Amino acid sequence: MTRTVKRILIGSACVSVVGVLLSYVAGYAVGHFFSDDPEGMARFEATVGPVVLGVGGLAIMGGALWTAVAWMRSIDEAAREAHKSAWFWGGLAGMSLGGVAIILSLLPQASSWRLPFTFFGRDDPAIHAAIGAYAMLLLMVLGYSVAWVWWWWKRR
Amino acid sequence: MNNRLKVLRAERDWSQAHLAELLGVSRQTVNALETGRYDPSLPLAFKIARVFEQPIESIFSEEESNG
Repeated sequence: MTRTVKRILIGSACVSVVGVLLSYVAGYAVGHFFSDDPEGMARFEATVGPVVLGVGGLAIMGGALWTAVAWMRSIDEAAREAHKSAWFWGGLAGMSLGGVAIILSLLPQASSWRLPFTFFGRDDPAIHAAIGAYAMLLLMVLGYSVAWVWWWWKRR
Repeated sequence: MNNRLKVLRAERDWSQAHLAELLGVSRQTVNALETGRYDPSLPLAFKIARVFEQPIESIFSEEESNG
């Protein structure tokens, strides 16, 4: 592992830890501020909450993208080729599997199907969409991991 | 693509890690190059030629390895 790669990994980990700590402190401060005002807390959650989550989400995505760009620039050409190949073949295989679920969901009889579990205690359209996104992501990452290991295994 | 990387490295008594450092790549990449299972880009091929002080065509050849 080169020094640049180590620096990127350590830097990203530090920023993530600081972000989590700041979020915890902010959440604690808000809870403390509204401790005697449940209605104010509900108003805060309904109005400011989504904005904070949205901005936080954008910051996390931006950070993840920056880390990915820095990572790709720091590794050598064979490692880059392995990632590209793994994303194409593994991602394609994952998407193909996920595509089966998408096609099945379009069947008329699918309207009566119900999930056998709840996600974070929820069972509503938004969480159904999130489960679909997670499932597709999981399949693509699984496919990617297998293809990445296969690429290096063939070139060991 | 066939290459003489392993022979050239052995002649200089270099480890894969040392060659990797000279080329600015990982040891795994040097291994993949030596086994002929990864063909380098042109810039890397030129760098390899510079490190071994030999023309590219004396290091890499089009013939497939029989081994």
